[in-house]
Amino acid sequence: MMSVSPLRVLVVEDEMMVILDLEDMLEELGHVVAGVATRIDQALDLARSGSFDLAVLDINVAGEVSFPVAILLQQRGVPVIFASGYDAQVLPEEFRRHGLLQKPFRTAALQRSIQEQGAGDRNRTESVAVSPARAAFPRVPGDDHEH
Amino acid sequence: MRDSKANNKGKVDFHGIFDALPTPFLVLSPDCRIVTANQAFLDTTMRRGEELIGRSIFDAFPGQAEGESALRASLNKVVETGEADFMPVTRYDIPRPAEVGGGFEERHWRPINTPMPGRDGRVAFIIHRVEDVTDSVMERRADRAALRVSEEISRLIIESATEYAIFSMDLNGVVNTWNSGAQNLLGYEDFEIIGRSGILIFTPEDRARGAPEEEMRNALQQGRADDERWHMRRDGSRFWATGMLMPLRNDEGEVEGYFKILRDRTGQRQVEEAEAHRTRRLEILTTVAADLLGTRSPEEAMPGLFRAMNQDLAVDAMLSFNCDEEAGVMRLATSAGIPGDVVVEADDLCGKAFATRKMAYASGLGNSQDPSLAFARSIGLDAYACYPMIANGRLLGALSFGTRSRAGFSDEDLAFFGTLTQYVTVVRERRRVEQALRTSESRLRLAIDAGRMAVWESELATDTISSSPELNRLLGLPEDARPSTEEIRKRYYPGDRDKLLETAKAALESGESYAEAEFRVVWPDGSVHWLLLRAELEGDEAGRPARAVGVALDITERKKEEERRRLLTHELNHRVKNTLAAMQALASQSFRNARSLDEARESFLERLTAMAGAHDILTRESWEGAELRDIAAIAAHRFGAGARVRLSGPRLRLVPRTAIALAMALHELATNAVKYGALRTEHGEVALTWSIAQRGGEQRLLMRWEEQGGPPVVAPARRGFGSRLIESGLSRELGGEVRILFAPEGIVCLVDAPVPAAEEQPVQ
Repeated sequence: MMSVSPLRVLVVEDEMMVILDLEDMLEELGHVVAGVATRIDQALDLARSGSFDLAVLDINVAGEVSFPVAILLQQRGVPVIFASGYDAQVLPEEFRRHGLLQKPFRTAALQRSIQEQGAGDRNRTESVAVSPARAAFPRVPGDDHEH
Repeated sequence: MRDSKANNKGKVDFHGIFDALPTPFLVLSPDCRIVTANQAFLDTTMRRGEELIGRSIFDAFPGQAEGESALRASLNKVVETGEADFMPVTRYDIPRPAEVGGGFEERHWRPINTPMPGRDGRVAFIIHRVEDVTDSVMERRADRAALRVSEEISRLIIESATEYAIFSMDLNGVVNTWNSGAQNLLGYEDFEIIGRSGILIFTPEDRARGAPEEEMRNALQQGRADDERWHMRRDGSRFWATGMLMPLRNDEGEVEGYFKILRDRTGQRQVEEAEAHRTRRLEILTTVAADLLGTRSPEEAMPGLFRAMNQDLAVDAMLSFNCDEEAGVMRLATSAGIPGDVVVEADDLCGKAFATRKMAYASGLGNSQDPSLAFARSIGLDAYACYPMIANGRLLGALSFGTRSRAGFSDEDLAFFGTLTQYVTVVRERRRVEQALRTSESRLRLAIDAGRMAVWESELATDTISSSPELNRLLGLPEDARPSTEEIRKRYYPGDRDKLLETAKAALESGESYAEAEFRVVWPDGSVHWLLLRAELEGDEAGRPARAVGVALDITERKKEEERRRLLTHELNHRVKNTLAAMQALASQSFRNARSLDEARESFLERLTAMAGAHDILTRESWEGAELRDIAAIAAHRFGAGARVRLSGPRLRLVPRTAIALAMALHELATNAVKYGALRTEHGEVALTWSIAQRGGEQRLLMRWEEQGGPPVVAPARRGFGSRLIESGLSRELGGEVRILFAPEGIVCLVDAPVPAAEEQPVQ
């Protein structure tokens, strides 16, 4: 089974209720919401400066598309899951391989999407020299929670 | 006398011993006369020796016929057989002497009759020994009485548990007890089913697959067997129940039967089914919204919509009308479920909907003579509802729904039709606006394109590209730059040069001398731009591209516009899905944070109503925005407490998302006020005020919810979903600070945030 080492997640979403619920879902799956942005400029700032293992992005955030955030995260090796009411055909070609979670979604679908992205990313980084995904899915051998 | 002394010394005094024995003894002659009695006997029976000796035992102790015959039989047996006889415990009440109150005293005895043979070997005397076992009999009786009481209590509990069917069966499944709950639930009187097989309550399908036997097996193996399934009543009707079967053990621990408890869950199941029904409606809405977007006109979506409505809601006819404003009439746009040869006309019911701009509904048409409903009746409808489509104050048309299979529509159905009509209306209106937009935009685009054009030439053989000031502009280079071919190529977006070459090659191969391609260039500042290339191609003898002359256009704006349009066409779908996501979040939050299922259901429905209220306002305004005051008014009026919630503040336009977030937050505050705060008491009041203040060159929205006159406020130990929604959710939405203060005289909620944007930024 998948390891459930907690991921630091960036949430970019403008719907208040969905954020609250997404926070609960991620918590339920053992992950940590490390940043929430309700606007694209906030999201870009966070994506540039924060350290995340995963990002869940709505596509239309307060009237702006979140693709620039996805590009930035992609460069930093952070796996991206799009969560949107749009269907896959609005995704530009270069983002098609990212997960698209159709809203509304349940915890199980989110979990599946996280697992798929996790697996996909590890394969990708094995073929390149720099491995940003190592940072994306940190394995911390010295980190013993049993203290 | 000496002899006698000597006798006394040598012999034991049996007479003395006889008298001293603590157990009562009587010595009888074979004809049942009393020869002697020891002192214990006299004491126990409260009699004196001279009253008894020489008399028949039956005369001395008369009465109790049953005891007498048993004693006679026992004594006769002893005389005949010469063997001792142990009699069962018998009751023989002793008359009490008058000096101790008279009457009879209840006594229980265990008599033993022992023969004493004489010299001739025959029975000379009978020793009648009686043991007084009254005490132990009484004790046992008390125990039994206690047991009977507890059994009676259990029986009463079982009998009074009328919501539960409780009954027992023997090892073969034959019913042997049946409580009144079982009577109510299953319809059999106890005398009708006791002695018959408990299999009767299983459905034939379950019997056929051996469910009864399997259940008994499971109960034996696991100590209990649970089930949840349909059961059958005496009249053959079915109900959904949860049940439990347990083995019934006797005192020795052996299984001697089964014990079954059943509970009717049909109600719960109906609730679940209603829930499924509701979900199905939401699905129809989502599908319809997607269909509407995928078609050129709403009419095209009608057949699919009709199919779904027909299947799930028994809608047998649908009509869509368009409003012809100039002629002032309604014209049929499309219909479904109406025979082809019928000429449809907008009847009086629709006329009423158009005139009042409100939904019109009539049911029970079959029994009605109303001439204004003649058309609906003529096509066999039993119920009929017509909804006007209104956008931005204009009447666009109407949608009608009819049924032939139901006498009327439920309130829920009608509400659903209303929502559906709103969707169709929004799509129609969007389409009209988009069409107008497109016409003006395409004119604009021509002008833009003209200013961003460059002519260029490429000599493929020598691998050179000639530059021009216009081309420099398209590549983001200074106008006077003279870039080398290499420098120009560097500007191509990775991979896009290959795409260009392939296009050119494919064109030449198919004999075309003209090629067109879209590709990207990266300006020195890192920004990406789209160019459209149209070129005349010349090939060499081998058919390879040799020379190209063409025009390049910067189409970045157009590309962005395309993307925006792509999003726009999916806009409604997006909004519907977002709404569903928000509703789902609302449901899971309500259920996650509630103390009971009922509470969860109630708070979910209330929150849903609050959300729907905000949607109503937004739909009225074509989802362009809402007035803060209108949003505040929903929360104020929701609980009928409108007069006690005072609203004051300037006009302020909110974007849809902020409007919904604020409506939800105010709903939580209002609910709390009604349950625990100022609106719980008769005289409590709430003031909701807002103002716009200038601070540090920025406009801020200051909002204040203040309760007064309620019971003293106690800060809750645990912050619930409402607090989280307000303090974390709303503050994030507004990008400001939202705080709840639990002041003893009343809850205060403060908002301090930048004035929210009046409209969403366009997609960039």
